Amino acid sequence: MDDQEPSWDEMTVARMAAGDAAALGEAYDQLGSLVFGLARRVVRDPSLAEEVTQEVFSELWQKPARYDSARGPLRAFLATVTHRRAVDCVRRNDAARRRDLSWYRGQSQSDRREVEDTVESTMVAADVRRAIDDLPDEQRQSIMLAYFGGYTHRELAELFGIPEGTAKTRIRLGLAKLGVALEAKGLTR
Amino acid sequence: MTDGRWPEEELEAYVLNQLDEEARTAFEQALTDHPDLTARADGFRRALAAVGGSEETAPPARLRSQLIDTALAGREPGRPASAEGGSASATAVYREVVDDTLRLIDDLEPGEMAATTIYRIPVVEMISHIGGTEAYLADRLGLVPYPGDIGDHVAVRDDGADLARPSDVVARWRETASIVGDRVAALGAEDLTSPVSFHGFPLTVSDVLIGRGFELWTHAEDICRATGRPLRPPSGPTLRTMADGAMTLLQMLLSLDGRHQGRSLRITLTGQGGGSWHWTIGADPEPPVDPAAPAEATLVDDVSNFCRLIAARVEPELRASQLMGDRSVLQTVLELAPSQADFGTGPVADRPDHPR
Repeated sequence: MDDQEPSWDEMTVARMAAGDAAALGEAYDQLGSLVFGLARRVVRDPSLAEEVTQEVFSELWQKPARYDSARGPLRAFLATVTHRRAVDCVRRNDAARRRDLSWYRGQSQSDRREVEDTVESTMVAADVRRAIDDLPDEQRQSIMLAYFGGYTHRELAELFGIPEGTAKTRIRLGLAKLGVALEAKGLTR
Repeated sequence: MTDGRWPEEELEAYVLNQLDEEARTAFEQALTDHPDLTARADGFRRALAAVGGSEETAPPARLRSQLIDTALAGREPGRPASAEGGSASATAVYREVVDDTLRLIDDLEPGEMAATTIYRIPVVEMISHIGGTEAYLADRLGLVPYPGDIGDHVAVRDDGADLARPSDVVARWRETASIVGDRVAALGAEDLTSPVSFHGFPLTVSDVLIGRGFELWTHAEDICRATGRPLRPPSGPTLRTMADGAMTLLQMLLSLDGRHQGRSLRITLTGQGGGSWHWTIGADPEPPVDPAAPAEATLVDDVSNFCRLIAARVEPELRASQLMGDRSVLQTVLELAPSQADFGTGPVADRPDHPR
């Protein structure tokens, strides 16, 4: 048996599974800013971000068994759940997304760059920002729009006027590079 | 994938949450057969979490109490989380584990047949043991008479098959597993509750199939360890059914042990297939226990790990922080849990080289 001490992640989730409500509060204190910040970035509406945050922590409390420590830290798990909930929320508001897409198509190249900059503008962690900046432009744009904007491969292909396979490849290559860079900086633990 | 595409094609769409619910579920199912892809998906997710984490923003102060109140309205404090995904039927457990083990064995290279598993038993002999037990199961289910002395089933080397030809050993087990599998598929609810004597224990067909699934998974992991493959627990529902069976036996063992009669014990197992079991030791009939009531002793562990403890494949030493309350009760639990590995192995269980 693994004789390492259990991580904070494992113990907090195990305590929640056993019904320890204090563990829920501790998880929120530790990771609430991540969840709320990411949700707000994706849904772009503080009140919707609060709803997403509430849903994410309620789900963690109700179904703690969904977290598997062997697959990564609780932080990454909650970011994934938050992102999924937030993207679902954005997609429900389809009209707004169509307006975005239509507006984007009508802009000049420099205006487009402004949109991408806006998407990235709140990046505060310098190391993460540097890793993202080191990506080739087309990979960075694709990942940022897919992650924070909730754009699908098909929508990105339409947006950039490229085949869907090319949009996929840009994201695949970009994610691989980003993963290596962030891993090297110890930012994925 | 359900549409036949190599799941790798969907990897980025999956980690970026572009897949709809149905496609996501299908992808996650496909991931269970692709550990390398799972590792890549997890790596991408960690990278994206770092990107998302750079957006950290303090939520409004009022959100904390509001959020906690809402969550606790869904499950009261003190009440353990219920298992997710339910449990699998005995027949589903058996079929899933047989199929997974056959896939594992198909994947073995010829050179790996000589790798040594637990108690220095070569992989090929472990497969022979698996085949021998399957043949005994076929006998007990009234399908094919067992071809020898069951006391020797561990040592049965595929009824005389030449161990230099591992393909024969595998083929023999596959054939028996296919016969048993067909029978199991045809079992009705009434059949599952039929009594059957298995290694001298009066069990039901359902008990036997679940126990067989547990044993087979344990040996599949023995082979994985021997050949450097990652350990893969069964699906959540199958693990849940196995854990339920193990808890029933543990309750019986603690009751027979007699040292902690009347003490309340809670075991909470986390992860897919986990759940919480809370009972009073030795109480017969078992009185209803309020799941939210405090227990005198609590043990928390990962469900796969606990099942490996039951199978005597991990040391019975849980971390101090996973044990709460009366340590003497918990120590007895840790002593007795691995003894379940002896159930069903009958007269050969005390052999020093016996693969339990």
